[in-house]
Amino acid sequence: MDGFAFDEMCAGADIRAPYANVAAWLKDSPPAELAARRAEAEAIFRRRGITFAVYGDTSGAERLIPFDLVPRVLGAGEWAGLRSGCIQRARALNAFLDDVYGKQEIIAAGVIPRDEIEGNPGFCKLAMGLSVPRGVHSLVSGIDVVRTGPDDWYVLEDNLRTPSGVSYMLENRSAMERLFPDLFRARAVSPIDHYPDMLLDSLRAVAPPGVDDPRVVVLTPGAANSAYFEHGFLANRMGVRLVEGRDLFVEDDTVYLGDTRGPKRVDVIYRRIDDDFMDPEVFRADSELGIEGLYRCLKKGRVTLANALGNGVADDKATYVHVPAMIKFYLGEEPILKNVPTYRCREQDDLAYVLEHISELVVKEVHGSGGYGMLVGPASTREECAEFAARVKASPDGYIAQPTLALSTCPTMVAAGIAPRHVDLRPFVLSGEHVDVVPGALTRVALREGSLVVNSSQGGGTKDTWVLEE
Amino acid sequence: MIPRIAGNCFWLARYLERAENNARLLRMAERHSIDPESIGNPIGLWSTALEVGGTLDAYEERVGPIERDAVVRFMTIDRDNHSGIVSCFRAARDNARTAKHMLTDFYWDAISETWLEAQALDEARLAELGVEGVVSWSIERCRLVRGAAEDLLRDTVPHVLALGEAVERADFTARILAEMLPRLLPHGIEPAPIGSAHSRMWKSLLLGLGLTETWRREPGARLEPLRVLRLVLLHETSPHSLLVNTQRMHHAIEGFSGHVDSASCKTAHNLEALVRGVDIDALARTGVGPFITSLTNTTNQLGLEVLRDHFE
Repeated sequence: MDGFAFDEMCAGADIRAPYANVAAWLKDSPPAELAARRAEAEAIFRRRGITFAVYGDTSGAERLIPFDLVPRVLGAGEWAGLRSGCIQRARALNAFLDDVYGKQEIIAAGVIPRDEIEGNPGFCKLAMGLSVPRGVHSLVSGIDVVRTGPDDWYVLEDNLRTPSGVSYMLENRSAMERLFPDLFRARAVSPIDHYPDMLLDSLRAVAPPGVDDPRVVVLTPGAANSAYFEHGFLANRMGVRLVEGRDLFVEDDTVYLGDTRGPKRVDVIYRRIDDDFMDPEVFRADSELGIEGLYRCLKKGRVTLANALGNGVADDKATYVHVPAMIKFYLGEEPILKNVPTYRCREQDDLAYVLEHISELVVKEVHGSGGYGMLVGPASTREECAEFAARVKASPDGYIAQPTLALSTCPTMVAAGIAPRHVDLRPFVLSGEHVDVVPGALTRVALREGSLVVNSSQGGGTKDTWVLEE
Repeated sequence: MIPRIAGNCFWLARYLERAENNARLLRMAERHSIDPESIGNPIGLWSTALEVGGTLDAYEERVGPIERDAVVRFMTIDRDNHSGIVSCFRAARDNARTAKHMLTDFYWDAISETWLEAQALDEARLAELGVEGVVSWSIERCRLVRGAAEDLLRDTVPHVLALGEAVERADFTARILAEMLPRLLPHGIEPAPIGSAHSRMWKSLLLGLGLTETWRREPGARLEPLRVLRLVLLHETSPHSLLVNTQRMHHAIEGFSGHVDSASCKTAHNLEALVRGVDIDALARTGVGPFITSLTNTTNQLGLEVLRDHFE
């Protein structure tokens, strides 16, 4: 796979222009110095508590996500196209969500069949008719993209529920600036540290009508959650409270925050908890993470939830195939970013193809995430493929398959030195009064040679992502 | 401030203070163990240190007879001793982690680094540093973290931290007085001759309470038990005196709650009145038991009321 993948630093014997400085730095840096800097970076991350709990690990130990010192670099021109594509996608997805929970014009127009929307487990009946300020259902959208050539970007998936990882984007930059200030002096890199300001501005922009100075909170499931560092980080950087469900209560269809100086009204909740747990009155009755009565407040338009309820209908792998059509339908534009060709196993012909070619394909659960419940055919044994094929056959509706893309590679520090490793990219699109994205993203890197699985839960690492100024 | 997070800050400060108190107890017992009077008495103040820390029973059950090295290990690196120094730093860090968004980066880094260094504290490192090395390191780290609070907004968090520190300090004072005074007072309350064993024991108490520096600023070189007691209980400006800490409590509660008439605030005022009203001469002559009992009960009541009124 590596031999066929697009190398983001090297074009044959030449260095691609955006990487000129990084390549020279790598050439001039003795391995011992890089190793020392890596140890320094780890010490910084450990002290800052930038840790991650691996799902299923009951020891409760906090682990570091491996951080790779070699930045990923995008030229200004490369970024411009990607940025426009991500913004376009977020606008279309928000329009779609506003439509399916409103007039449902896309169904009436016959673009997407009703059963595919209303039969989707991510469709939330209770979200029908809720007022969503500015129609911003997905305030934070994580658009996962991969690259296969100089101008070839594909969207792998959209994350519109509670996309995470932005704190790593920001902390990676902060560590790099501290460790290698000369690199930033040598070539201007677009700053990204205004992300929390943009996030707060967007959150305030979607406050319920009539609220002049909205109070925003970040809602976390608690300190045991794997992304707790990020929840606290964002609350701290925005200067707002980090709360758990038990810190909030509802009175007169209004959400209040308990405070040592008396209750305070809450206007916007940036929640990092799934829909099912948000309000035991209408969702899972056993949830201790949510706020009893929240739904009543949402119905009356007394509080805004970001991201809104029911976004799962737009970001699962079954709806994914319709995003190009959504862009045309709502925006009247041609999609800037491509979708990966997708076989939907619910279709008879596609299923037959998938079963026949499973060893060449990536097969994913329609509602899975985090790198769980997927098969990378070319990297799997015959037994693993057969076992997965049986699962697909048993419930074809639950799976899609895509050709195995040759994800681009970036130079990465590994035991043997610097070597190419596959990467993906998650820019975070913010929708409020405007739709925008900071010039940067989270780059995830598969540290194992040849691996295409970049998820941190599966041993992937991260890199700082540079967008060069013009 | 969210009550739950206020609770985390309260406990963060208590555990930090507890770590420092434990360190001073170790220093007190270690210094006493090399006093000529202690030769041939291996128990010395080691059991007192455990008793003051509330861990004597746990020690005897899990470790066994009182023996210096074992007590030092237990009070420092033993992860199963929840009051040990390493455990206190861990608990402080865990509470700080939950409340991290309310703290500054510098404050977090100070406490996080403390925990990372504490994690590396094992048998070998303990042997390398020695008791005084570990004590000094612990106190330095506590001071560093407290110093990092300098940048916190003067709204709620510093008040809650101050309350936690003051409550733990008052509780510790009550405990150490309860253990040490019955050993000291039977020897009389006359001024102790300079350099006498009796004088050194009183100095051990000052050392344990962190009041040595305060004592040095008192006029006169002779150690007078009544003056020591007055200093411990009633010094108007020493951050380690009981009076100053009871005052800090109601200032802190008023500061973070914005109220002056909550039950806990009234109890804090009662505590201050209890301390102010103490008759040092009578205390020394008739015994400290009833006073310590009132002090402990009122401090405990305050802790519960604060929890109920402000942190739940």
